[in-house]
Amino acid sequence: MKLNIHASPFIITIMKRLLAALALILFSFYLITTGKKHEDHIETEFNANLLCLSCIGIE
Amino acid sequence: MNRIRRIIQTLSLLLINSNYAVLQKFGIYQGKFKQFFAPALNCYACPLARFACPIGTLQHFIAIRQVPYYVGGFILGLGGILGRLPCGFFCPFGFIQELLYKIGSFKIRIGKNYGYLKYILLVIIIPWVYLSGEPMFCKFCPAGTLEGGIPVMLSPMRNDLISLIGWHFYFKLGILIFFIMLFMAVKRPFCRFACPLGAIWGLTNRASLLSMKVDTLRCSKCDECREVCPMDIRIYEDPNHFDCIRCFKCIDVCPENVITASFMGIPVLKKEKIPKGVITGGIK
Repeated sequence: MKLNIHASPFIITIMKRLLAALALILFSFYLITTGKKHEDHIETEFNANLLCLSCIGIE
Repeated sequence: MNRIRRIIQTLSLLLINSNYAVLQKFGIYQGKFKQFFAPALNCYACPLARFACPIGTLQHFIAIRQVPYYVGGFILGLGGILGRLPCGFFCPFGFIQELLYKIGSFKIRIGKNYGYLKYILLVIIIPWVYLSGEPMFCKFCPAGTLEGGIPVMLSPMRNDLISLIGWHFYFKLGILIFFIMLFMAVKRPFCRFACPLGAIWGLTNRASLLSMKVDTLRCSKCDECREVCPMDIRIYEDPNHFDCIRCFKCIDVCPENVITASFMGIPVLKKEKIPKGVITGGIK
């Protein structure tokens, strides 16, 4: 039996976009959870607490 | 919609920079919120800043040669959901640019191809940060001078830092003055030509759950959308252009009602069509 399936190009575009977005979000979720697992990594995030001298133009 | 956006932009400016304790006792905020990122480019050396700058943190990890897991996930995740919408709704520096553009009558229109400048800058900055081990973009960033440098130099901390001021501070001040003059003549020039965060989120515009769509068959190409666009783009040429900040101003002004914002393919924002025969001009 020959299947004759026609999906409109609009649906295909939306599906492609959804898949790309899903891949991006899953990858970001992996990055965040991996970052959270690294205790020292979280500690280094606290470096943002220091005054960024470069930001204010001091060497 | 534009009024709602203005309210969100104001609230975002006040929330991202909400360390009001600094008004009583001067210092840089060092609380727990600093481990979270502002959804925009906002200098974390600003005495009022409560959140970390994603680009500052990203550079920090590249500089110490560690994978920027946490901040990378944050940037890509937000981009994957909203695309470049945070630039249009949450960025305090973008908001300042839009307000300054309203001043003065001398306006310059710069071609959209110059938008690629920020990608060239991004390609230069990343290896430069890696090789030098320093946050090189911060050394030029006008947002850092405006939000961090000037307030710190006007504060009581000035006495401790004044001896350290050198040519670099004045160089950064020069960049800021140049950009402020540009803000009054060109639509959001920093966001369009220099912002690395906008460059990354611009790439996610193509794949984000939130997307824009234009019915090109019905579009009359009247350019009303370009006139109001804070990024000066023609949305009908490319609805998910890397410079589209999803401010939805084009939806409001489109006379043909052909622009739609969709989330996961479902239309969420579209100007209502006025049925034929309905009088909208009021009672004569």
